[in-house]
Amino acid sequence: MKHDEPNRDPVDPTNPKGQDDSMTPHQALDCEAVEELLVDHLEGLMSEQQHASFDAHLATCPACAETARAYAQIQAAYRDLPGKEPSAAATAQVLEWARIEGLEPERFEPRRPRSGRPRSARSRVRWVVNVAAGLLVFFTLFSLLPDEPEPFHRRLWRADAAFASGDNERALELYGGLYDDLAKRSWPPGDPDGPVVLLRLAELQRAAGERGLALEALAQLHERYGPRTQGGATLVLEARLHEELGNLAAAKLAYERARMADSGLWDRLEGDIARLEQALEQRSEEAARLGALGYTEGTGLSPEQQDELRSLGYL
Amino acid sequence: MERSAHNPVERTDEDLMAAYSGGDLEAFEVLFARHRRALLTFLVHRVGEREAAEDLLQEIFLRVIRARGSFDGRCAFRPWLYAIARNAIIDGHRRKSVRAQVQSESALAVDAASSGGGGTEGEAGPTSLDRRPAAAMVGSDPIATLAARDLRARIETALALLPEAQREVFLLRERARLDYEHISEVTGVGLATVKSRMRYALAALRRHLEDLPEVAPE
Ligand SMILES: [Zn+2]
Repeated sequence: MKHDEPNRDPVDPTNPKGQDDSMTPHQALDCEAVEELLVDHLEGLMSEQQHASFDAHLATCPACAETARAYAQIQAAYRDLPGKEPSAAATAQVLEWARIEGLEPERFEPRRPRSGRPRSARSRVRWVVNVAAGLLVFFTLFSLLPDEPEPFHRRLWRADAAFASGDNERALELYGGLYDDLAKRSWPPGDPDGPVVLLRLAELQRAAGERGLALEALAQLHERYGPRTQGGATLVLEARLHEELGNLAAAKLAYERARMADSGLWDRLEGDIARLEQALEQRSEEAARLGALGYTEGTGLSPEQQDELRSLGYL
Repeated sequence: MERSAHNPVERTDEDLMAAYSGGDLEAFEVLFARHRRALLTFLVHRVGEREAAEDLLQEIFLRVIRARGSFDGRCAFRPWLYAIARNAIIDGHRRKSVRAQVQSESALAVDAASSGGGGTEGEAGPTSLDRRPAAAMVGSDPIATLAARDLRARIETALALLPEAQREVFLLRERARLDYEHISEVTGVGLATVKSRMRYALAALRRHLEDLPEVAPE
């Protein structure tokens, strides 16, 4: 039943798939034909001719242009949704199956032919228990070996687990190790784990009060993985860090960009932006007031105080 | 693609699957690490329930493990994985409808509270979403957490409103990242039908997203 239907059923009157043969150049397209081409357009599957006709229609038809834009937006928004992490229990279960099934029968019973007499249920239970005990010993030994480098993905799981359980110190250490590893491999592009490591490091550094380092991690995230990582969440984190460091203008900018990146944040960040505007205004008023009193900006000290400190060797 | 045969992280899925068939457990671990998130997200969006999706994830990988000997190295791994996923989902539906029948016949008096809620709670329920990813993306910042969840919830709600056939094609394309030829193979319908389902899915998502609150009207 699965393969009965032909791959190319002739549903489409404009024949967008028969790109090579029948289409006359610069054939004018109507809205319906354009609508049928939208998926190919999204995927970059149109021929040059189709592209030209498509673009020509969009230039004169705001409705179709708006539809094309909306589809691209939906596609991008969905692709940007972070993946969901399986529970530790599910992961452990799958890996356990992989171990047990993978060991049978080649490794444990190399001499028994596949067609051999089936094991009785009882001996099978004993066999599973033996394998489990053997695995336990093996993995205990394995984890005690100091030089054996643990694979990246396994260390990432441990780091994720530490992060999820709130063990920030341990998580910071583990993500730090992963960071070094990624740096050694020059940050392979397209690696889905790199952005996670950098974002977690930023969050953990912030929690540890290391805001400069947190901003550094975010800057690397943007630099290495591009604008795709500039979602509302990372920008709000950046804004918070700037605000906590007293970089009010930078904080306000980051909040505004977060709003642009995610329209769902629009109302929620209203208060933050208003608060920063007020603080910025106060700061400039204060600077003006101090300036009028003869204080220099930056130190907050009067010229007399500065002279005094200089004579004492402090400045 | 095949830059280094030694570094398992850089081997192709097909190489890894072949290596696992030959007894290389680490190859499987890499393969699982590579596909677990996309597949679980696909399943959650496909069936709408986190618990059921986790169960399916385990079952699918068990099928992969058991079918390792029959994997043809000349075929691409991802379409094969998602074809297995599709069968597991269909089998799951079948089991579920049998179970539902049995339950409706015999267990009307069962304590509803202890059964932990039905299908509609699914992804939107805070218990299922809070497990980790939200915290992972935005840390402890409540505003960012809320907003990220809000966007996620809107898209996920819109997806849940799609007819199943359209949702399947959309997810195979946008989450599983299969090309249209492979989607056509996996679903067993023609290429043109696949594309028109995608078109309907996009149009419906657009409509639903405009209807749902919190989308900037512009
Ligand atoms: Zn038009």
